[in-house]
Amino acid sequence: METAELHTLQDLLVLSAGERPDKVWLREKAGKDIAEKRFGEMLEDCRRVSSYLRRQGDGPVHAGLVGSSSIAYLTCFFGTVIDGNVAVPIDPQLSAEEIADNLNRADVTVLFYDARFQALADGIRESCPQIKSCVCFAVGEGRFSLPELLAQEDPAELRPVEPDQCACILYTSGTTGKSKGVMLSHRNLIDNATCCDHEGSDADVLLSVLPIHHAYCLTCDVLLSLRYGATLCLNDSPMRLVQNIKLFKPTMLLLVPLIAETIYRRIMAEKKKNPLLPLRMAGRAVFGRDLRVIFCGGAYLSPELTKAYEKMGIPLLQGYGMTECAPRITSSSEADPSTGTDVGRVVKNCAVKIEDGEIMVKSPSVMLGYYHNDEATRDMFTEDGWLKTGDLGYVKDGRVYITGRRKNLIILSNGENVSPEELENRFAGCDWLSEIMVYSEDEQITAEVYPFPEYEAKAEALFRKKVDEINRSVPSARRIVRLRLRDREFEKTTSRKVKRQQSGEKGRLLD
Amino acid sequence: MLDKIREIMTRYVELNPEDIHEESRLSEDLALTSFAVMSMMGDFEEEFGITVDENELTDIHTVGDIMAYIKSKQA
Repeated sequence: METAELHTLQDLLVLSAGERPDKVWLREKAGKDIAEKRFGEMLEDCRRVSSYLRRQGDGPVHAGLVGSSSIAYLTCFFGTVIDGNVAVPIDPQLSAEEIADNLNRADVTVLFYDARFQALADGIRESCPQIKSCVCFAVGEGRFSLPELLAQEDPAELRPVEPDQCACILYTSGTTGKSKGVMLSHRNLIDNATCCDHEGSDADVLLSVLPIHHAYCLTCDVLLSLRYGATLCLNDSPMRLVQNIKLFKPTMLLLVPLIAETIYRRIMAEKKKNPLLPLRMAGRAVFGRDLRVIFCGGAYLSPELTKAYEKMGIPLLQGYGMTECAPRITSSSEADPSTGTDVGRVVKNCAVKIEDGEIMVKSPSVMLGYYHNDEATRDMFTEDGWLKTGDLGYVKDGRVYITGRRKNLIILSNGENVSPEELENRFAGCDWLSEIMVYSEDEQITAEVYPFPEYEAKAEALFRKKVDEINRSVPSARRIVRLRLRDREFEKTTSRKVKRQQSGEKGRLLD
Repeated sequence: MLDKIREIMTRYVELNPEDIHEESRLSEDLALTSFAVMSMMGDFEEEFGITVDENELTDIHTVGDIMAYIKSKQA
């Protein structure tokens, strides 16, 4: 596909369907069978959804989507955006109140939902009075469903869509503060889906594991598979990832570090039981013979984990981005992998500069702004239009290195700024350590750790030893002076990141 | 059943099967992340021929809870 011809998500779907109408694009489990959807069929179904939405209001309709990745979900998503409407994917793990709040704040008037959210649809008049129509992904008594919609509607003649029209509103799942609705235009998403070359081909099979309401999954699983004409298999649950890898035999996977690490621990446990089994074979027993590459992003990836995967013969390629950039800012490739501590090179069309230690971005992928939040939008940009990522880092030999988050910075009474992530990363490779958070408590740099329980007896000594070692290598103002030891996991966001603001009890203070 | 559960759990924790007890707490004692628990439940589905509902996992905190859950699904 010529990327120069792509300006909108409508172009992307129409061109993919034109090039490979009979090729299978989507696959998912349906009971004991596998349901499939071809590129051509998908366009036809999406146009039927567009036809339905035409009758739901004048001008762009805001359609909320609540559920996990499925063929039905993607049919409703693309049926919304290819005709100039705005899709609002919601995190299905949020509470009913938070889901309603996100729908209301995005001015959603049509709701597409998974059957397990029937209670939400039943109470929608009270919680979201502006929602006029609800469509469930599955047939059921007393509700209108997608199969019925597809049967009653004719495919719409699609309206022209402008590249700078808003295509979707994605809520940020930040580790601090209330979520904000990021408006991404067609240009943003197309630019980001085409900002790297030679990532895949129509022979590739992707297994989509990450939540569909995240920009990373939307761009790098869904849009990339469309661009390359690859097959996209949909993981029905995080519970069945390993089983689904065996079933769908992916060649590419997109993961977050937590998942990559859990699978690695599982492989090592198998290897421990069978020490003669070569590591590569142990890895292949879980990932299959066809897997070529894993892209990893969304959180800090330790160089140790990258090396461990390298030993298994599976490149774990790191990238860096944020929802506001649709999301990729940097990436690495099989031909040019990151060296371990960097997050790769800046993607095509994207400019990065460092100002006062902070990474600034200007690119066609940068969002239109936050929905109904001009003040927050203004705060994100400099006067000359650079997006302030809030991340601290530097660029060396074309590679980007991240050192921490500006808003997490600990500002000591002497004015010195300390990046907690920089200190946390110094604990990488500690086999006794499960989780760590560094923060300021009573103006003192505090490290709180959650060790693996099998190290419970030794954890305190190992923790003290490591802190001594770190303290010897940092300037005196940056030394860790207070130590806390936990006996349970830190609270996490729904995307499994440790929340910087913990509401529960702190760990035990060590003398 | 406990033996089979222990065997599967050692795919996720670096412990000997005999160190895993009915009272062991998944997060506090065995350091299982929530993703590891999910992944493990997928293995139990396969091993015991049951269908696990993700929404029911919030009440599972110990190895004993897993046993009770599997039994309820087999019933």
